[in-house]
Amino acid sequence: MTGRPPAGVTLHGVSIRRGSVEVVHQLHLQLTPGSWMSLVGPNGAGKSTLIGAMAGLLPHTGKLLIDKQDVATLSIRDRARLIAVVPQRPELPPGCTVREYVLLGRTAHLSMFGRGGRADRQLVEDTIERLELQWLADRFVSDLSGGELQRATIGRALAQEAQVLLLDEPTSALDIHHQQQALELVDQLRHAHGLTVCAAMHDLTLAAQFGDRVALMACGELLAEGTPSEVITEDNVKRAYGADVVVRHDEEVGLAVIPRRRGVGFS
Amino acid sequence: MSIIRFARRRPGSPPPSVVSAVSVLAAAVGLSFLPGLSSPTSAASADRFPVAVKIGEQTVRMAKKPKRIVSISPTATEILFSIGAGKQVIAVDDQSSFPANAPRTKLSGFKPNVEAIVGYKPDLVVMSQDDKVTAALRTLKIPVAVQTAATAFNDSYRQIRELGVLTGHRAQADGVVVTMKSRLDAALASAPKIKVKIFHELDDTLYTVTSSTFIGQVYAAFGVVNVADGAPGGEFGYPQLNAEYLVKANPDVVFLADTKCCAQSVDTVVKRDGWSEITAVKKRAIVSLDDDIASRWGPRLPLLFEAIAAGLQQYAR
Amino acid sequence: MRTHRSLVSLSIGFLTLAVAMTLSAIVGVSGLSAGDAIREVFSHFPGGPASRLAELDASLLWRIRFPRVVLSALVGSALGLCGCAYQGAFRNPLVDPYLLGSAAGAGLGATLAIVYLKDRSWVINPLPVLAFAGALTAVAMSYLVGRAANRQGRRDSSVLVLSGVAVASFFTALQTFVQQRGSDNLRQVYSWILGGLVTSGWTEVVLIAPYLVVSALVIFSSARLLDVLSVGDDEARTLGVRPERIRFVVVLAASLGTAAAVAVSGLIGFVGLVVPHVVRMLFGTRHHVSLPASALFGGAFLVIADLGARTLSAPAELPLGVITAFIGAPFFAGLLIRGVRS
Repeated sequence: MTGRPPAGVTLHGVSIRRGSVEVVHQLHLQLTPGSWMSLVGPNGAGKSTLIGAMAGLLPHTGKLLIDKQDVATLSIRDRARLIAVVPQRPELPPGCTVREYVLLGRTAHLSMFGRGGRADRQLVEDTIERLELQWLADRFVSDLSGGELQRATIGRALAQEAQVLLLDEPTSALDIHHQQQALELVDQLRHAHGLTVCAAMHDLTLAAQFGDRVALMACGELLAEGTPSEVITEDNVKRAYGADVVVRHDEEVGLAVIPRRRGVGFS
Repeated sequence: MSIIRFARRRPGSPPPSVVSAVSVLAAAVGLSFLPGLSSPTSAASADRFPVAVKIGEQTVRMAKKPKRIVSISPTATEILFSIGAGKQVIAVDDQSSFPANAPRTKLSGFKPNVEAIVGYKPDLVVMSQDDKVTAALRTLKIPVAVQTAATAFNDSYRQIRELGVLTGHRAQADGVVVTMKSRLDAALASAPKIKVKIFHELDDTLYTVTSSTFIGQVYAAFGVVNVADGAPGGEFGYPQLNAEYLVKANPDVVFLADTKCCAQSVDTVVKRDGWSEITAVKKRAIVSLDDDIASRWGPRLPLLFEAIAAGLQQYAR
Repeated sequence: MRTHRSLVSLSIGFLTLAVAMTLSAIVGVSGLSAGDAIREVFSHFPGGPASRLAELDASLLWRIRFPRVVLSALVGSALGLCGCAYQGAFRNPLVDPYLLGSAAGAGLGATLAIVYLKDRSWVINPLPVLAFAGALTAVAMSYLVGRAANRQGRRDSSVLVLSGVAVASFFTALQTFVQQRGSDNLRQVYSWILGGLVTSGWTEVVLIAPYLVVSALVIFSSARLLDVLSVGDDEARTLGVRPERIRFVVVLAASLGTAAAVAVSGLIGFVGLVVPHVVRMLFGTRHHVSLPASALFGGAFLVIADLGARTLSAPAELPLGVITAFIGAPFFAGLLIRGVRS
């Protein structure tokens, strides 16, 4: 859809302060073009903060480069044409239909006073179809279920025709079926449009199944970065989360992280 | 005094009736060129129309004697009726309480309704403030006389004369002014020449007047001391005193101008907290004035003077 | 679907406004019948009937009543439009166009004019000028205070609203102080504050029309951007716009329109609050529909309210602000009780 080759993302020495506290400290991270980077770590590790900074919502020191271009030099509008965000809890404007909601994604491409030409509308329709939202296109977003809303928000991000897609806890409000559905969808779109994806995720199994690479954060620092099997080990999980888990490698489903129960009755 | 003398009958001269008729006619014609003469039979001829009177910044022109006057000012209503123009008044506002036979309507002086006023098809409108309504009436070419609240006694006399000219009652207006002046002088003369301290109460929240206001000047003419002078907040003439200031100022006589609006009287005043040590309260020197008479500057002004004089005399007793 | 809603709302809006203005133009308390009024209008068309009106009555129609009808339509449209714009800019359906202190500022300006400038005659009436200036000054101060408060990095529109509350309280206190000093002008001050439209010729219409046109043009062209704001400041940023800038431009334009309206009409409440609500209920929340509809229905509402002001209590005139409150408040309460989606 973008017609552009996928873009690589580089974070170089990124530090983020919130008030007087440094929440993320000197982070270095590299995202290969077209890859899926799963950002994992306990609550308060700085995952959402990092996503926020990459989205341009939080000030940070250090550099964020997309294809070697310093994002800080871009206008908000140009930035929106490069980076699209699927927020954790999207605002539901009253009286807004799904079609209008997806159309909002075209904002960065529309002229100041324009309302969108035929090409924009066609793109919106295509996106709606791709996300199987046709039957809901005229429904208000405030009337959608969790799974449907997630698809609509992904659709809006897609309509931005950006090269980088940021997702903040995309599955936290969804049941197991819709979790799968949403992530599979994003993966398909990633391959179809050559998107580079960075997703903050709390579910380690899903993070490992969908990510090409995983970055484990704790206390604002990068504990480990690499392939899922490199990063998601029982030791790392213990160090970062303080949790007792078993990491199994299964031929069919890949990597699975299973919580180990403590106490009587288990061997 | 008539200066027409009938000619004595001479033989061969025209009959007396013809002579008298011609003389009267000649005298009338001759007299019409003599301005300012106020003889009863020739009074009508002194009121010639059209007239133009400069009131404030505006010139009010009356082409003919007005027959449909609308008054949106209680003071103007009183003036109009006192100078004999009452029959020409077809509507007065809802606050025009005097005289009782004035054609009182629901026209409001507070928020005048232009269309309602125009509905009376007036040929002269008298108002007490210059605002959008007067501008609207002027746009419709209806003569509007704006007589704002008087700030000095001369304003009262001037307004009476202005209305006299505009309504064709010059002589009567002059007469009213003369009477007013003599009654005012009489009231001032009758008052005792003691320097007393007075307090003039506008409402029950102790709003009062300083000597820079019209009412204040009335008191000043009597030579009394107004406790409101020098009170804080008095730059515009209507300070609100607090009880503490008043007790310290200790007026000798209190004049109540809120007997109608706020039901104040001697009884209510003596009951007020902390007032019992005030000289006026101890001596019961509390004078009730009629709210209307104390707030208008028209022909009933002498009544105010007389009431104040009576009040001061009461104190001197 | 989109254009359909837009067309429907605009047609109904125009129709309602036209009916209201016609009704208001032919009804009055000066003794003119509706029939005569209609004849008078048509007598100006070629081939129309001859007018039966005396010059005074014709003059009343063309120089007093018709300008007043147009003025009430303009003021009502301005208040409705600016109310809708403010509600969109702050994503809050409970704000009205007086939010950032413009009412308090205009009140102070008007009070200053009445107390200090009344006794001299002026080439142009200073009251609307001072009211206008006061309104804009208050909004500017709210903005400055809000900006200073926001420098902590929190870019929050609610801070701006709160600074507006502070500025409004301050200006109201000043206004009350001035009013008490010049207390023999109390009646005039209250009369202005309660709201009212008195016209003498077309001066007032000509005076405020340019400001209203500019204000309306800017607001209408910001319709889509206001839609983007509806997802919140953060998401709007990621979509590629600068929420503070949109808010600033819209607030500036809406304040200009409000100030111009207030300058000639005093403080008329509820139009800017209730009309956009009703419009959104009927026609949806997209701004390219709700903004023009708020203007049209706001105009119609005030035209009818003004008709009531000058006829219901004749020959006195009811303050316009009282009428809009009488109709608006119970209506608003009814909306809330029915729990209709706003």
